[in-house]
Amino acid sequence: MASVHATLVLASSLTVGLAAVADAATYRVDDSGSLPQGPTAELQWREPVPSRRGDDTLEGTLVVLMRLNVGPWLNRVGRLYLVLPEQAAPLVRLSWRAQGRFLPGQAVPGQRVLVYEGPVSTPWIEERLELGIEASGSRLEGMQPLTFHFEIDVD
Amino acid sequence: MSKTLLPKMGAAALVAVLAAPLGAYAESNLATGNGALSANANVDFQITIPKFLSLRVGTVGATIDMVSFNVPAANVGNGTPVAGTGGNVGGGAVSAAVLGNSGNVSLQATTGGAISDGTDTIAWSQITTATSNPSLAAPVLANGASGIVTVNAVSGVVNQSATWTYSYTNSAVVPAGTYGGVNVNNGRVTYTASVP
Amino acid sequence: MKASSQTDSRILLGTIAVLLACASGAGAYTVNLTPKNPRTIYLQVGVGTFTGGNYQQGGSPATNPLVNLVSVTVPAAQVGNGTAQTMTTNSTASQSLYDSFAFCNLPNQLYVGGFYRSTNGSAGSATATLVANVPASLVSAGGRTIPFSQISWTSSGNGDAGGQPFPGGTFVAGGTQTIGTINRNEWAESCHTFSYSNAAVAPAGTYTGRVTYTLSAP
Repeated sequence: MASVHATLVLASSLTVGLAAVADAATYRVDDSGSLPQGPTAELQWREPVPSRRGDDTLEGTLVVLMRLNVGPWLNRVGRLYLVLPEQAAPLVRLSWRAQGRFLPGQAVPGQRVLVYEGPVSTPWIEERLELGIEASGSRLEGMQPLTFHFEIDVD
Repeated sequence: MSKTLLPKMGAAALVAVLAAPLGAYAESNLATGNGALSANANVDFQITIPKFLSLRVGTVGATIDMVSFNVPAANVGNGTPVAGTGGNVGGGAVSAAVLGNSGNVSLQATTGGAISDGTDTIAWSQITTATSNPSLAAPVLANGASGIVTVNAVSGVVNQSATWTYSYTNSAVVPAGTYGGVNVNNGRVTYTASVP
Repeated sequence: MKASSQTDSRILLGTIAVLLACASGAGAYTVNLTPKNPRTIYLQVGVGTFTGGNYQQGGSPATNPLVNLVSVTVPAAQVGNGTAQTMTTNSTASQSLYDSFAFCNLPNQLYVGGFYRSTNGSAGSATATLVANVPASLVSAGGRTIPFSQISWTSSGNGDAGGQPFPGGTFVAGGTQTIGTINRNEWAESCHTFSYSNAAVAPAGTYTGRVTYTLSAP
């Protein structure tokens, strides 16, 4: 009887713990399985020759395979966002197109854009993204990192 | 007795416009790379200065000045020079100027012969010319062509001016009369400046 | 039974640990941005070359090795009289090679223009500077000279108001002088009208000299 009681206690504890994780909140999503890791995007001048008014947009594309660990929210309904924080890189705009479930979109630094809304039915979401990067050439100092991440809102 | 002297202002202006060929075309240059960059373009400049020569003796323009000498009867032939009257400066003097850009200038004065009153003559050597500028000496007047006076150039350019003052030497008693005149009786002197 | 419970507990505790790690957040995807062919300068004085038409037509800047002439013949009656003599050019460049806008008026105006492409990768890279390397004199076949300081220019451009990127000036004989600057990532252009001061009587002759314009970016 004691062992059974202990099991019940543990189960209750676990239930309480799960309930805490499952509160409506925003969570950072683990994307460490994405590929390639730390790629380099070569940016070229949108216009090789500038105008009299001046234009300094650099642009480039990069294909990445995002692999997002959404297991903690399995069987939940969630809204997945691509978050482009303010950062040092003189980024003008990040755009993307996807082949799977993700919505296409674009963001400027400081924006958070919805890419998926619906049930989390698998522990991993894999999505091939074709990224379009536009940066300000006048402010780009050699090689600079551009970072973004994903967040999920669950109810 | 008066003698007239009519110097003529003559200007020999030699104009040689040299062609400005060198047809060409312009330059553009492109440089690209990661370090310091430079691009050059050349432009040729050309200034053509034609030859010219300008001579002034007396009033500027078409006017031909008159210089006259009136010898008082009591002084005829006494050797005392007689100053003239007239000329654009007055007192028997004229302004003279030579401007040219092709080296030394040769100056010469030419008359039709001794000054005459129709019967008798006075040699042009009896009219002397004094200059206010040693760099612009006046040709010594003669019956016919004078000797050549060289006006020296400085760095290829002659730019000299002076006042030439005429005087009648009055060194001999000559028959009474009016010698010379407005382009008559050999009364005119023509000055010529030239460059090779 | 006791052993079974312990096993279940360990599994459950392990699961909790994994979930908390995910919820606490990790992960930010990083892409390294790097410019390709970051820096280019183009200088054109007089006629230049864009292969394939002007830029808006799809043309590309190119090198043109030939040299234009700016010249004047002073009328004999005006030599050295102090009246400035306007010079003309044999350049046929009246249009900007960026968009074919009729920017300069021929034959009096010489086109001076170019562009500067650069990221912010080095100190002082905000502008490219145009200088002129000027000989002391133009020289005739007879060895006579006219100082280059006798040549000056005004600057303008059809449709422009306000200052020019390459303003008017006077050559400094025997020196290197700044003609103007091009801001980073801009196309800049001016039309120069040259004149000879004719301030002194110069010996007869044809005087020539070459000025080299240099656009440089640090």
